[in-house]
Amino acid sequence: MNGICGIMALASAQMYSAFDFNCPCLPGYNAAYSAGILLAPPLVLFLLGLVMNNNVSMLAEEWKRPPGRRAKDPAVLRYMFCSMAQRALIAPVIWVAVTLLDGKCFLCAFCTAVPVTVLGNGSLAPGLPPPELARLLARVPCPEIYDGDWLLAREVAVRYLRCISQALGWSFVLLTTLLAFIVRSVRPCFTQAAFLKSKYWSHYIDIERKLFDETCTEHARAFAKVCIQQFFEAMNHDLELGHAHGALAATPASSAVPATTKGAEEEKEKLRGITDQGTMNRLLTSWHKCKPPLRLGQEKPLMGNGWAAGGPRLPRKEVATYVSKV
Amino acid sequence: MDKFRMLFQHFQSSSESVMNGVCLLLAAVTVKLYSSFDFNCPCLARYNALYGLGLLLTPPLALFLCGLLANRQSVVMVEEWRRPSGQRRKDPGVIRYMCSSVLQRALAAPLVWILLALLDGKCFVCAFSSNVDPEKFLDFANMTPSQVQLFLAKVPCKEDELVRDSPARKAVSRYLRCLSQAIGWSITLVLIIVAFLARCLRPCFDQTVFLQRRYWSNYVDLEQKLFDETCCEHARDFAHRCVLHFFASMQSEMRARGLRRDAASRDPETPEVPEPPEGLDGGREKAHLRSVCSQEQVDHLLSTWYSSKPPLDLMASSGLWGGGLSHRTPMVAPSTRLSQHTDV
Repeated sequence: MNGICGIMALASAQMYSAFDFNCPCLPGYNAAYSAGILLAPPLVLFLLGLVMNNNVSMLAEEWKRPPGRRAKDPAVLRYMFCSMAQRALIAPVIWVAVTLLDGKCFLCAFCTAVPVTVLGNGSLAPGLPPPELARLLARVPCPEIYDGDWLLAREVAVRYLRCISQALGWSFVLLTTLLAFIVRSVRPCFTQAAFLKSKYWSHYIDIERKLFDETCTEHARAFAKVCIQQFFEAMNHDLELGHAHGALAATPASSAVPATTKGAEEEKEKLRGITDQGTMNRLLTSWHKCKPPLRLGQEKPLMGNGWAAGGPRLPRKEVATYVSKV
Repeated sequence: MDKFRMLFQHFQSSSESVMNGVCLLLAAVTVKLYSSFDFNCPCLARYNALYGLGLLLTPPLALFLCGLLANRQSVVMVEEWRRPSGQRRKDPGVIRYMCSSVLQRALAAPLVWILLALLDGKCFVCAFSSNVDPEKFLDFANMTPSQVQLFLAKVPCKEDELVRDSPARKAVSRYLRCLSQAIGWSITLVLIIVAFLARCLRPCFDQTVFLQRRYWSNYVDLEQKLFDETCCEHARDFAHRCVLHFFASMQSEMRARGLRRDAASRDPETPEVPEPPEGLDGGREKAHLRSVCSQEQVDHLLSTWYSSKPPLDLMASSGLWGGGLSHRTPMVAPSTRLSQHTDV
């Protein structure tokens, strides 16, 4: 996940440098264009960051599933949402920071708000009607059509606005890093125990989903194999019945049986007793509607001669593990 | 490719190496950031100083915070500082050591930025051009004070029509750049001397305490990493068991409904209860589960890890862990053993 974050951050910076900024230089349109460039790509990048994160569907599933035999923990859902949102926010923040530090966007948006009286020939400004002044100043970002040098030198206005834009950019960067630092450093002071639990269970949900998919795939493969084997056997049997008085009827049947038994044994084990469509459908519905409880020992009564879990572990083995690893 | 991998492995070998690697990476990013940043002095009276000094100080602050963020040990240090003592005493010396090592590494990138900015000179020229004493330069003799101020404010902007190709501007600019570079090199020299002295003279003071603190700070970091890895392994095995049990319970439910007549008639040799595969794989999985196999037990384990870390004494701990999770107090008081470990 962190790799994808880094790639998206770099992609965001690269996208900005490849983008050909094109200020319209018209009074009403400048602000709208700049606001669009400043705000729309970050939104797109944020949504892209969420989409590319596989855990979004996991969060949605966990949120919408019926409780069944397993209660839902809102803290786990919050943890999952927060970690996804944090990662998805990196690329938009980079875009906004790069846009402000570059300055073109800010220049385009606020060129009509430059204090002409301070920066340029202040005496000439009051003589101009406001619409005319706005039209003149709106052309500041476009050097080839700017015709207001008698009122305000273009370079002065550009430098002024870029300076403010860069100051805002660095302040934005500082604020976001400060916020991230506070969130990251202050968290262990408050909810560390709850955080450890949420982290564990969110990881568990992810792994469980993947393992369930793997087990279903294994089952489907075994199901298909057995189905096809049985089909061929049935075909064979039909042919034998058709040639019941033939001499070759007995031989293939006897030679075929040991070969199918060996392969069929393994496949049937993998089927875990689920051998028809209706049962499989019921299993999949039950997995969604009523997830099993998070208690492995409870299955013992159902199983009868089930597995012996919950007994004492081997202490020596644990000590050896710790010592050799550290 | 091999060299890169070896380098990567070297940096991953201990937590200190990882931190050094992150520190170097951040310093390289700082250099790239500075070279790609487009400096833009406003060349206006009051704004110059704000812009120049702001650019000299704000990015270093942001880089310092990034350095703290990128360093995993800062979080480990705060966790160690805030955890309840439980069965393991907290050593303030170790926490101080971790704090100082984190701060030292986080200071590298800001210092690189400041030194680059001073040696380059643009920030300094922009910030202090209005504060230059005009009497040092003969070219200002014919100008009124307000004209002089206006001129000085525009010195950082080479292309401005007022100061273009002006020898006075070049003189002021050279003077300020020279000052900036002198300050930059002096700071570099002072820092290097301080670092050299600190490194050489440290063994003269409290070397044994230093070695202990370094060991235990590395230990705390590694222990946290290993705990996270063990939790991941446990979650995987727990999930595997859960899924297999689910399949098995489906089958027994069906049997209860009497729906297996076809399968039974076809495959009499199918085992009654398809247990999870025993043997090597099953044994390893059970060991990983470590008798912690329900939600309440896992929650209890995690709360205990936070509120009461085990004592740093493997002989005492083995008695505690022998019976899986239990609420028994340890047989021997761990505090005496702890003091043996840390004061040796």
